[in-house]
Amino acid sequence: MCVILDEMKTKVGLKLDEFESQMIFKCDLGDMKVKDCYIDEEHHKEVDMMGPNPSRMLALGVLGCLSASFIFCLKKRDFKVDDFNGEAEVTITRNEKGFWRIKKIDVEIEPKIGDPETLKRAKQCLKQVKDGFSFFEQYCIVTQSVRAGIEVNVNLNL
Amino acid sequence: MKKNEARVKVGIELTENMIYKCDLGQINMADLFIDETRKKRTDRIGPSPTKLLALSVLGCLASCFEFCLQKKGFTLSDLDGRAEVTFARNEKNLWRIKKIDVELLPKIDNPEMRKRVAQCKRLFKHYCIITESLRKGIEIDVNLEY
Repeated sequence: MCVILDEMKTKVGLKLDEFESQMIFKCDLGDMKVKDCYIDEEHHKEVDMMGPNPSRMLALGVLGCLSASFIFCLKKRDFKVDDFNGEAEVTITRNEKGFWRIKKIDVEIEPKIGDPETLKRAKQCLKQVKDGFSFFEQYCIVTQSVRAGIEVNVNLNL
Repeated sequence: MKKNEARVKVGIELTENMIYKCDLGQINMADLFIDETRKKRTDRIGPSPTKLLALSVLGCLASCFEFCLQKKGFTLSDLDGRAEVTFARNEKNLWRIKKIDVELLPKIDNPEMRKRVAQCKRLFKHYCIITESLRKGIEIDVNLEY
């Protein structure tokens, strides 16, 4: 067996939902304990949607990754947040050829930290490294990989 | 909001150690979680951020392909899709997404539809907001099998 240590892979799938013939897809997440997950590009109003559309999924990927990287940075020194919320807003604009493209994703992360020692560590996690990003951001695989094509602004309020 | 601009918003809330509950506003669905804690796939209660990214690319391409068929009145009876994400370490030894391989497998029912699929094969990728926005940083290979 050949094992490449510097490479990893992950897989997902989808299937056109048989009961909804138009642009609603059921996610295939293997044997995970996930209740039905749908990608809905059919409906425009949130109240009608059966699941997120691809733009919302991308935003969740970026937001989830950044949040996990920040929490991981605290955990490395055994610190925990008291509470935690995050939001991501995707802005979509037309390019010079008239095609819709994702222009930017604005991320707001709001951890609640009461303990002064945890706050000290959180500030270390926010320190800028050489390439202009916070220490914790550089460990977020998704955000750092999409940044060449999409502007991602991260605001973490301590 | 400007005419040539659209916006969407999502949120998350920490439930336990690196497991987040997604806030998708008024969308009519069961709770969706992002799980970065559990290592074994069978224990996980939600996709990781990378899987969400892959689903976003896959869902976007599948929708654009269907949309292209629908423009000429064709409706698919079945379609399967797969996306595989490859990670590699960069020069600073940090993990980054290197490429996403996408396979779309539509079921084509008649020769007229097959003709339209051949036209769509050339066009549909350009209409995918997600894939075309990501391409500068991530190699995305799309294979449409029919």
